[in-house]
Amino acid sequence: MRLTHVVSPLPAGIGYRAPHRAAMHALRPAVGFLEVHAENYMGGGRAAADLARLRRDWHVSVHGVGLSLGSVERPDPEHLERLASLVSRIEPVLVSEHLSFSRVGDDYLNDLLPLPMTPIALRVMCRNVDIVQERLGRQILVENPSRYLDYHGSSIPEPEFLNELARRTGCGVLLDLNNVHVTCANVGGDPDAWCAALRLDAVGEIHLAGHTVADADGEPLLIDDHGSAVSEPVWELFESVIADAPMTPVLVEWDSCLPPLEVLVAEAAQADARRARVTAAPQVMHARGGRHAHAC
Amino acid sequence: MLTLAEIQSAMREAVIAAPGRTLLDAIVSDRIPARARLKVYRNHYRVSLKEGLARVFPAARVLLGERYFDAMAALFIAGAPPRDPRIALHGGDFPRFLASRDELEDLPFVVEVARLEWLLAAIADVADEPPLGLEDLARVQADPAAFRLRLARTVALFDCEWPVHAIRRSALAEGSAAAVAALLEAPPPTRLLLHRDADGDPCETVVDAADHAALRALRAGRTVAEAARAAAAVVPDHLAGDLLEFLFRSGLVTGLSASTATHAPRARAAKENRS
Repeated sequence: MRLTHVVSPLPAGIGYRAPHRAAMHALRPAVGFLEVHAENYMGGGRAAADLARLRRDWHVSVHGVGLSLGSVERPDPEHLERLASLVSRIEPVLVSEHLSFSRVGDDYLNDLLPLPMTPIALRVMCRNVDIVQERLGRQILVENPSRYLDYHGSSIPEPEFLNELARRTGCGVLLDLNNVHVTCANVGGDPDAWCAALRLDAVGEIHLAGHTVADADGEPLLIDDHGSAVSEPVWELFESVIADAPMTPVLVEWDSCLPPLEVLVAEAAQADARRARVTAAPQVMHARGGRHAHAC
Repeated sequence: MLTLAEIQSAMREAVIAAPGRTLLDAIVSDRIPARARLKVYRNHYRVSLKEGLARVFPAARVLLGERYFDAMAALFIAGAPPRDPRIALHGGDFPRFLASRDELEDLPFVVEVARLEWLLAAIADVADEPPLGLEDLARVQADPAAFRLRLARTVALFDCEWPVHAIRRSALAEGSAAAVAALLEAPPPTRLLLHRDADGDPCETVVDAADHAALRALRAGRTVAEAARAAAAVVPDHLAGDLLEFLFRSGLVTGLSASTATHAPRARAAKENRS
């Protein structure tokens, strides 16, 4: 194990979900940042007021699921404007989206559908990421999704696809380690080799989450349901990656079967503890509910 | 090898309906067949949208029963994919879909409950606008009665011949049996002013027939005086002052205009009348 000395990484963050609203304000957990799904905060009313209030006490990152960066169509200009408006209003520390498509023509398919890893798909992704970054006037991060299938004719390994996307567009990578684990289990591959092939200097954020195992015609298929604690294989992958990229912001997601906030905060604390252990970093000082000096 | 556009189009068919042969042949089938792999995406699409409809139409779900509601939701989803990435806004046509079902012909109030729930969901997502206060009205030099009010985009009017307000509340609080009791006991019809409360949550305010007429006039771009006359036509000597004060105090007025030629709500009302 390589030990790396760092000054003070941003403490791990958590995905914020509205059912935790009251608990967030009552407990004021000392997490490094909160991540919200962009599409839930593009309007006004309670959600907008809630986010503005959270923004006063925590750093916020905005995670989109609706731009459909992999679509052959360009990003929906109206949706991009809504995202730009949200980003302008919230001034998030990070903005991210996915290496996937969800829009086909006028229909929005409400999932992160897998792209074939081909030069054409790379060109489309680069064009659409350029459009988004140009409009937002800032870098975005692009996340590797969980994949349940692969296409014949995919010619570019996923980490190399992301490396090239980052090189051509200047975007960063949101490395979701649970998704790496799920993808490799489902379509083949070694998670350690997957991560080793990725340019870690392009990684702007790491996601951690839980998954479940489903039965697919008698064979196990891992489902990225964000409905349980981070699994041990994913923690081990995290320790391996964070040792080489110790300052990278880390976030724990939990979307279904939502547990009490304390459980999610404990997962984030575990991420901090594991990072500290493998990097020999000083333990981060947590100011109650306040903002933290950070390096992202 | 399919083109990227062909793959995306074929994935659309696979998710919404069923996978075609060309897509199945394009997917790696090893220990798990392509069809089983695609099923993950199909299931997620259907379940997540069904759950979304259940969140938007909770009282309609109670009234219809979960099994029937879920069956209707599945049929609706198959024929009406979302057109917007904001899933909270999926379901605008669901009340019309329910109205088209022969088996619901004897339960028209259920469709009205769904219509009300959709309006509340739509209001929840509207962008905030800075409201005008009573002090803004007081600053007006001319006779305020000659002014037109621009109501916030969060304002909607609802009316129907059933006591939908009471039915919905009973269904959510106590279940379908209580909702039936409300149907029998509460006085129809329902006239509601829908808006957002101080916390930003959608809410309903029951209004009488005269205030409803005044609100319709204001929404149509009529002047305050014309709205007052519309109310008085329903209930002679009705005073619209309380309604105006409520609108201003609740932050539901976002503009004042003395112009007749360029007022957008008036133009919109004229268009609606033509159709």
